[in-house]
Amino acid sequence: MTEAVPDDTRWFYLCTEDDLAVPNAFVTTRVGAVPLVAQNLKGRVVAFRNVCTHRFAIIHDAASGCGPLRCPYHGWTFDAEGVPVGLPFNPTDFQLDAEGRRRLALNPASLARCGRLVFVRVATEGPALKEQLGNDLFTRLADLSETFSRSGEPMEPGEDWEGFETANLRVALRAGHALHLEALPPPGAGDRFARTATFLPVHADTERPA
Amino acid sequence: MTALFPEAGGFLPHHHFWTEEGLALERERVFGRCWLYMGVFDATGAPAELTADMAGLRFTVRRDAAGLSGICRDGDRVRPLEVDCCGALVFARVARESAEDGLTLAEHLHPYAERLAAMSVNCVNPELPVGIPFQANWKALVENTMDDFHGSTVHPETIHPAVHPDWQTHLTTERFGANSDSCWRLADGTAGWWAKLDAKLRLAKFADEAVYRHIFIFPNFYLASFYGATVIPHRVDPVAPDAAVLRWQLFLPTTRLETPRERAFHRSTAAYLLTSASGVIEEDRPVCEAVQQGRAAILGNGVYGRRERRILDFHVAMLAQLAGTAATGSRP
Repeated sequence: MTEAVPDDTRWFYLCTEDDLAVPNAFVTTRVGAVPLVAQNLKGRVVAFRNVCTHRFAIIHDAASGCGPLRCPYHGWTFDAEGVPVGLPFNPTDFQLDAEGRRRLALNPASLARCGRLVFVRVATEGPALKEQLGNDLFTRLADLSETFSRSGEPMEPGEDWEGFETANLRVALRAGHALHLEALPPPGAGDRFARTATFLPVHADTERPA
Repeated sequence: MTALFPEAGGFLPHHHFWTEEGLALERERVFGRCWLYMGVFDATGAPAELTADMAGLRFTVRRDAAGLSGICRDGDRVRPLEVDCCGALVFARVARESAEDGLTLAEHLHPYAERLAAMSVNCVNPELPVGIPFQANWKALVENTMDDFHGSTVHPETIHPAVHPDWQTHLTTERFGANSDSCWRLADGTAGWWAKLDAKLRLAKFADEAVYRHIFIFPNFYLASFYGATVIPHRVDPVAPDAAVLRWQLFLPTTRLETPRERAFHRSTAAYLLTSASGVIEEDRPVCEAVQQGRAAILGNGVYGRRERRILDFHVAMLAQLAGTAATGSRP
């Protein structure tokens, strides 16, 4: 709770679209004291503060996984608007109507894409991701993510690879062969939120047409 | 709508759950003023000592030929304690300057002093005290223990099946200020298990009741009992703004511990109950810690259902105690 409070309008790389491709897939992180979750809910990928609005428990403790957006404490389940739709004992003990439920919607966070890369931030308003990354870098990163779209076996970047950094992301590129992404945990997040992945071109292992 | 959306001023501000300032104020106005549970002396009457550490205060209660006495150390500052008992349960508070200044222990426990005294008769055959650290503010543990809703989600294979399947119908909760008494009817299978145990051990019982009872006393004590026999005093000790220790002790009182076989059976039963109780607490620990992590990030004030009012009672009592507007010595 004592860590420095980072700028909540800053974007942080979270994962790729593939990580959130199936219903109920989720990925979590933390920015300062704020836990965040991005989740696929019936095909929509949305981001919230990863905290139940009932009694404030973290909803998803795992760094990633697949399961309903359901609080482990009392079983409250939330929809893509963040509104609680499953409330055990609601008829007898809460009797929350639609308005009452809306008052208890999860606190929203922001989610943006750069190509196939997914970024999140705490604030709901602020500079666009493209503004933070810069137009050129945004375009290049988006292109790279589309070119290297196939997950590969983890590999360490060689010294001769091209490298650059943006947001919490270290990018290493061996042109035509592999893209290596190393996402550092945002300020306040533990090492378990660090992520590395290697991506290959779509046709890397197939014979290219003449 | 039976849910209650608390208004500002009706609950503790969230930052009280993680700031040094919050804990310092509690040290002075809650733990430095309220009656606090210290423990149970053995039945020998021999000189003995109980100690407790809460929010940086060190409490020591002594029993000797002159009776009960105690001191509270706060760094270099040493203050005398006022010590009193409710049956076998020993309580103390930092002594007030005037005899009229503050509630008696019986007033503080009101209206549960007699019930607690009756239950405390069963504080015999003690097991070793247990302390389980939580990475959470002490109040998160208090809130959790007064929460009737998490049985099916947090304890689906332990305490939840031990109580009656229709627990909502059979749960009765009395509230008086921040003190309360919650009573859960045991599941038939659980009651049957206790009945067999009773037949074998001839349990000492303070009441014929096939229930799990839970009496909470402000600010950080609760006495749990099963089947009107086993009693388990619990105390939540603040260690740091985001750390606490849940201390508890199991008593399995029996009227028959004469033969080696009876003693062995009692020992193995007590060990089983200790393991079970520890298992339940180990299920509570991650959710309390998850609340500690989540509360710092929430923008709203939550909502409290019909059976969660005890938690708000506790908040209201804390606010009064911290503001210095509660009766000194704290009638919750």
